[in-house]
Amino acid sequence: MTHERREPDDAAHPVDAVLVRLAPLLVLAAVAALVALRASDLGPLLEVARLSRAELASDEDLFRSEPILGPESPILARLRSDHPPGTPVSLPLRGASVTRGQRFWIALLPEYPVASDAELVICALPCAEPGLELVERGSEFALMRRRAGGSGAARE
Amino acid sequence: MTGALPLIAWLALGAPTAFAFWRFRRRDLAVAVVPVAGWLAIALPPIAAPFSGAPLSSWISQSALASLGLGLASAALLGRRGTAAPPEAPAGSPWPMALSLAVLAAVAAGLVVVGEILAEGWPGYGWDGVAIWLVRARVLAESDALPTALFSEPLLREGHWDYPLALPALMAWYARVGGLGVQQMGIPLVHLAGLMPVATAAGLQRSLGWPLAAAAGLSPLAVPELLEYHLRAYADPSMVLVATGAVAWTALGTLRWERGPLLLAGLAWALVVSVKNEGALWLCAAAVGSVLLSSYRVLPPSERLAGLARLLVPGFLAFGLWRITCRKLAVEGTLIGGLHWDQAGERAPTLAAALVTHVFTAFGAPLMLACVAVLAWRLRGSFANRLLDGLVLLCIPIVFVAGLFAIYLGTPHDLAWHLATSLHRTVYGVLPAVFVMTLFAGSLGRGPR
Repeated sequence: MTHERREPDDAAHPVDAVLVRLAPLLVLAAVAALVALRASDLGPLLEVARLSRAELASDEDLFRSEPILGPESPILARLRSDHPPGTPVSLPLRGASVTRGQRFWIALLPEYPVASDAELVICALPCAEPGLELVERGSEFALMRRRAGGSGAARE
Repeated sequence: MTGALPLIAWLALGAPTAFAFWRFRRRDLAVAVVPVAGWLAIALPPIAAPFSGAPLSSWISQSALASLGLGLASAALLGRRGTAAPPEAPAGSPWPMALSLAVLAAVAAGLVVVGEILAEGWPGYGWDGVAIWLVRARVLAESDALPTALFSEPLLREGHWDYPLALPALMAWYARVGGLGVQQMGIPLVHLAGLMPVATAAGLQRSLGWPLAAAAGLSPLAVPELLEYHLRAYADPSMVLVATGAVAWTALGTLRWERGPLLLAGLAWALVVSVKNEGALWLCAAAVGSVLLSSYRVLPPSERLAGLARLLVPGFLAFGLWRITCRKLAVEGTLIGGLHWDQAGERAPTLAAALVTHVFTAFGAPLMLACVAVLAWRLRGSFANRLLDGLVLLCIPIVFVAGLFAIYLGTPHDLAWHLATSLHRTVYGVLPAVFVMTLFAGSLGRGPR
């Protein structure tokens, strides 16, 4: 196999010469048309962005929006109002709560580090861990505080 | 334009390496290397942070140093005996070049407009974006030191903290240099999608001509759903955008055995493995492919080894550095560690059918068949020789698909769930790689083999 660029002069026949000149442009046109077709698939994404423009002016708005925290936003607001950045938070996730609970990561980190043994706990209701005291409730999740030596189900 | 300053800074970081290529008679590759070397310079400081101990607040100066280091290393690897560029093609009509550049510019401009619209409303981030890449970007953008405790925290295990940091590092760069928030992280993604086709085309234009080089550069954006997933902040499309250039430059370097394209491909492979874990699979495919492709050249062993080192060592170094960093951070690996083979026999037929469906149907059976037809038509010699040459030219995508097959065969997850959530975006890169190698087959000279 040798690697030499095939120049238009390589084509002896006049029809070949035209084909050799046109073919690359036709290939580019085909690829560009495919790219345009793929770009047209972005319509719904752009429409959602346009419609939500008025509601999202900052990252805080973004975290409060339905695709991220939505009805769980009061938990984040309470955490921010009562506890300074750097306060660790435990965020155990199990079963059906995993996907929704993972949305807390982007809103919490890095200001509020996630740590297994933290005093504050954000858990899916009903929280399974005994000895928790309710601090703030969202829709499916709650902000709880671990009570030293506490036991029993979470109080609401 | 939102994010203009970090974009300019990114390109400036690629300038020293570009200057090395320009100075050592590879002006044709200087434009191609700019975004690749610039992104590597951005990604190196956070990856090395656990060892260097340098605060992330001095990220910009650390990237400048990394950029100079990459430039000097490139000059050393390129310049000892010089490296001649292929002869200039005879000056022909300027229209093909003008048309090709116009298409590339139009795509880039369209992407910038899309990025601006997304940055003002809900950007459409997917699960990977919100739970993996943007979390890390935020951590890198707002922390003074790499918060090492996060990486080994059991409660964050599902966030795949062993994934490499190049993509979140690029996003964090836009946050630190340009003040962009999480909502605007579509901006670095559209810049990347606009730049990489230009880089790939610029690196190929002297060998393939501008129209085919531009087609090769744009080919990833022609893959169904790739652009949408890219804007949803998944990392697989970013990896494919770089891997397409890397495959093309690997072919250029191995078929002509020139140190410029080999080094350019090497830097690109280093970036591919730094974007996502599957990059390691691409690198292994490149290693097998480059050895096979280089078998067509009669070379002294020392020259063959030196060329392969330029091509592969940067990628293996980058991969090794991140694995050592993971060990230092006590992060568990999730790519290979959990594989088990007890259900391999039952899974193989389902998996083979799913792969064939995705590669040949979902990604455009007519286009794939056209590529195979062009290969068969352009290659020379007997049927056996054509088949052998075709397999060698396609060995990088073939080995990549074989590696994917092995990983899915042993996945610890339910196979149907794993395929449904990831197969389409893990095979994104196959079609561009096949297309690029077909273009190379089309550019090979005819005549007796």
